[in-house]
Amino acid sequence: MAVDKNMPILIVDDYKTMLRIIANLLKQIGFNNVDEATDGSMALGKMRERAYGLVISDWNMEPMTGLQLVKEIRADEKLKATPFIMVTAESKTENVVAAKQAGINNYIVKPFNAETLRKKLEAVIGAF
Amino acid sequence: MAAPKPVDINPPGSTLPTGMTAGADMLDIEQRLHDRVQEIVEQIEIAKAQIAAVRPHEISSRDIRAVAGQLDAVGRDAENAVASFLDAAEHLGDIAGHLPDEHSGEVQKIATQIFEASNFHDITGQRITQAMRVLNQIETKISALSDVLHNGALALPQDDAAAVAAAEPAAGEPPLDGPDPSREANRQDDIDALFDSLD
Repeated sequence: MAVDKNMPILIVDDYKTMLRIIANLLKQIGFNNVDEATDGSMALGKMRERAYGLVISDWNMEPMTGLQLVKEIRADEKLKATPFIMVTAESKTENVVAAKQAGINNYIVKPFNAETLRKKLEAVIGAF
Repeated sequence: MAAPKPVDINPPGSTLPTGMTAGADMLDIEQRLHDRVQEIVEQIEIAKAQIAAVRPHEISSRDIRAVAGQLDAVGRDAENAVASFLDAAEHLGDIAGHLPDEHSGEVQKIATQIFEASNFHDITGQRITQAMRVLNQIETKISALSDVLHNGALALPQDDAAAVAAAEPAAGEPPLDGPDPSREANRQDDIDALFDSLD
């Protein structure tokens, strides 16, 4: 079944510029229904008010990091099925392992290009 | 209170070197001790003069703050530049929507390239943050050195723990070191292979 390109996507990053870049790249791929949050706790608040088809989140944020966010999501009965992609500059093996163990669906290392984003979206939510 | 018992420097059974009396021996020891202490005092004075010549207070209060200010300006300028790039790229995207198909795709591709290239800003920001953290630690240590020079007191720098704490990860998380500039750093392909191997 084809992916609904109108599904709401939540992007989370404390760099406003990065939010803008990801939102634009998503728009070019065809996803226009994009919402934003600047840290994990804001994202969690938004997710409890609205159902999102995908979360794309940075790791290094305060007060709640991306890793804490995915752990909160996976521990929440209503939210735990939400696909989650981590987008971060952290590229060490221990970071990737910790993120995978916390329940992320895929991992993108910054800087990334549009093609990488497209491939990871397809891997996580299916072909579109 | 009883007077302290005098120390017997020539206990029963001990012998002094030929021609040396107990009093002469003590004088010799005292003199050598005095000379050694004098030497140490002189070395301390030399070290203090050398530290003063480095002007740690100026390094701490002026030079490091100047470098921090420059780094901050780099971050701010880069942010302004990227904002302009993104304005232009978004405008191109809007224009592409009104162009015939044969041109629309090409213009859209250029906009994508600008968005991709703008990724550098995030990495730059994180690298600047790392450099600022190191500068803060150096400033704290130099301040401590300056205190030693002026007050003669050696104390652990108060802010050291705070500076290190700023780099510490959230509870239960691996350290967040930001972008790794080394050639050995994991790239996207390495991470994909690692990620898949963890299934």
